[in-house]
Amino acid sequence: MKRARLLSLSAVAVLAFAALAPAMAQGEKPLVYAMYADIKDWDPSIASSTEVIMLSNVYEPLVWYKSNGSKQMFTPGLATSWSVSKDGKTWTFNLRKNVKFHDGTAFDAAAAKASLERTRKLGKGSAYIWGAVESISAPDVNTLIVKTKVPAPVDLIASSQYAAYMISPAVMEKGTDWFNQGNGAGTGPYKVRQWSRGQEVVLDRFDEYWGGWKPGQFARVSLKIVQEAATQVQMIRSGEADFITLPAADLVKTLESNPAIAVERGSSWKNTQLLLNTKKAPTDNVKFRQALTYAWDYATVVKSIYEGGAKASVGVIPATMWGHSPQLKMPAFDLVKAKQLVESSGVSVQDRRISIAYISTSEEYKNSLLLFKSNLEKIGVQVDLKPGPWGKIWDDAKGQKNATNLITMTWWPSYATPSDWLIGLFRTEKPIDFNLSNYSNPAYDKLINDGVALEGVDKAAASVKYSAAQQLLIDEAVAIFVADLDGRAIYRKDIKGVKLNPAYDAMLFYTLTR
Amino acid sequence: MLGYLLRRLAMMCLIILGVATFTFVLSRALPSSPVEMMLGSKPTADQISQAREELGLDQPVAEQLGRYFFQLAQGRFGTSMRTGRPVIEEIGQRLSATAELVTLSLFLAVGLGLPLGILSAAYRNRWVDHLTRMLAVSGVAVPVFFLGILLQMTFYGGLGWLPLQGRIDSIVMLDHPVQTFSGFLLIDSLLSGNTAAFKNALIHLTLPTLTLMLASLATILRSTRNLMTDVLGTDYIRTARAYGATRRTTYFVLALKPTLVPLLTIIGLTYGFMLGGSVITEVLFDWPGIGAYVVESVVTNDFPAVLGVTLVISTLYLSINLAVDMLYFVLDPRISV
Repeated sequence: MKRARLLSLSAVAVLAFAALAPAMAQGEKPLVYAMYADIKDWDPSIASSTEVIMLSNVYEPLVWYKSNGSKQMFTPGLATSWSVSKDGKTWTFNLRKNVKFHDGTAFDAAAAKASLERTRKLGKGSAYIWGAVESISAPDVNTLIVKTKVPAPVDLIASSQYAAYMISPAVMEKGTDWFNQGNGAGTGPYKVRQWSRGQEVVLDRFDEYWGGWKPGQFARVSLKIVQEAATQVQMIRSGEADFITLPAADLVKTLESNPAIAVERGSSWKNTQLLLNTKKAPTDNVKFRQALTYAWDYATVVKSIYEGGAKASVGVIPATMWGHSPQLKMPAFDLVKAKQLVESSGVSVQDRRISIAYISTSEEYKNSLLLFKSNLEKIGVQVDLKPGPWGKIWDDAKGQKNATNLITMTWWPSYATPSDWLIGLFRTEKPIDFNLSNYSNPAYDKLINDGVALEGVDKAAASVKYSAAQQLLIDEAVAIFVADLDGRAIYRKDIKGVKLNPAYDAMLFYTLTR
Repeated sequence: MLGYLLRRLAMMCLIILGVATFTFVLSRALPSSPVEMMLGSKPTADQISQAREELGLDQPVAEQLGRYFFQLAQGRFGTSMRTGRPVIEEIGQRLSATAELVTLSLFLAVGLGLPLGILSAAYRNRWVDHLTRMLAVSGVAVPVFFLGILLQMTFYGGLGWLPLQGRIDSIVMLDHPVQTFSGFLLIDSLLSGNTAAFKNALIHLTLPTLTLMLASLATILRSTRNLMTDVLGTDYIRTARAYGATRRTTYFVLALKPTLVPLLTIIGLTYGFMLGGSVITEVLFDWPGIGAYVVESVVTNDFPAVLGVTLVISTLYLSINLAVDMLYFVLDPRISV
């Protein structure tokens, strides 16, 4: 009797849920993008992390870098055209007319000036990209003039994925706290409709977007926060999610065999290198450092450890960034040569011992370093591997006392410039921030500074300087250049218009249709 | 009685103070610098030293601890470094999500575990007993993450009946906003007569509740069975049966009563444990609760958040235990201080 009642109860429960289930599917299906972390900084002047997925759809910069698969380096954003004076220090932007912010305020030169000045004044996140700017003025409603202290590529800086967005002057007064409630007012095609903390951000189409709307474009986009790779995989399999962001290389392979799912691979500007500390024994010895660069098995690491998700680096500037030079003379894997270099380095046998710090959560780092260790042991160099969280290993590396001989680094530029690597990682720095090689070479510094001055007016000439600078890094074995990492988008095949752009770690939803 | 309560409360304060000190010192001794995590991808040296100064990280640990206690005394838990919001606000929001999930799971676990345990004891070593025991043991033996994924694959992937993750669909929230009274979506949506939100919240709750319930069902079922078995073997039960007490009265009144006191302890402990231990379930189902929050905080070394959660959870755990101990007096008049 009792048992029967229990059974019937559970049957009723199951039926009840079955009846509720159809309520899940209804209405026009929004685009669902599964991201793995919530938006932290909503303030476009400050945000400098995974927020770019929201920022690049809600806000617009003056200039886009190669938007929507364009072959041209620049695509007009809120500026329709621009020019630079002969000395490379005065930039004039002609601004787009009839553009409105989401709050109804008109976009004009005063708004553009206020946006840039706000970002510079706050000085947070990536605001340093505007460091060379001397003054910003708005001589008339549609003209913005940016003057710099030294020649600087303001067009490139203005196309940055961080710290270059135009914000409505009316909401700027409300301050960062207002933004961080999940508010915003840009000119982009989508406006923030709702933010459920830790769960979902809903973006709705901005009807008055200057670019207009065509049928088939998405009226609503949902950015769902899904932390588990396995959950993301189930969501894209069922069609609930249109884009997923998490899965590791092995899972991607399985997903590719699914006829409903597409995987787009393209360039990213992320690349990985091992920085060699040039001030700490025994890596203060050039020959010893060169030996290390010959003991790294470049091909095996890219092929077997990155499983096709990366390409071997040539220099520190990735192949898809302007300024890349394919003709650089790179070291190749050669243990015999490495052994000769170690023997002739003058480092005594008992001192042939190095320490390597790496981020403990990365399988790629761990596996490639284990391979490196076993190769080095063959030529008589002992290795201590020191895994740890980034905060700790970075902190240690900055002070000479606890620094290891080598540290892993994955770098990407703040905006579309090769100088970001060359300055950030290798130009003389005091105190040390990211130049963890402690490299300091006046000849190198001069090449870089000259190159930066040329960037705005003559990119070819700047590239020549950068090429020479990179050869210096290679010859002095300041780093092991490991791999240029591929970008990747995993999405449902019925989504059309997916294009990867290495300049923006995001997806522009305006260009997509189902 | 009052004296006992006051003594216990004083003890509780001491324990919490100890926990706070221990966690605080530990968070400062750990070899990681949280500032770098907080400032985005590529902070400059100036930004870092400025942030360290603002947070007082350049001060001696003893001074930092003193300042933290001063803050706590004013009811301030500090600001999360990861999200930039007051920790107490975040915990408040997330605690209600966890409490809803855990409370519902516990009700189900008790509602199922208790009768099944009694049944198991009554039909000891018969097939009912074997079946429930098997169920219970497999509930403990199967890891929660596996059980959760299995349920997701069946009810979402296979049958398509239930949603995969989340607490409620934002689209539903847009069309049918829920006013917050208790923080429990089920209750709030019912109070505002919002059936669409209620249905949506219910289908989202089902799988995580089931996952969490199955994991704790075994504890309650097995304890009930063992306690009942002991009681059923005593003289007074045999006497009662001999005097003609029905089976129902024997099991559900006469025998159940003496098992309730120890059972209550177990239920109380389970509840406290589930509040802090629902981490895996929450991460698996993207449940915006306290468990998922503390994991993210630990990973990024967001110590104001870690400290806040530790304090809140330990306070809750101790309070639940105290409440259970108080209930003893109600259940068993023989117990006195």
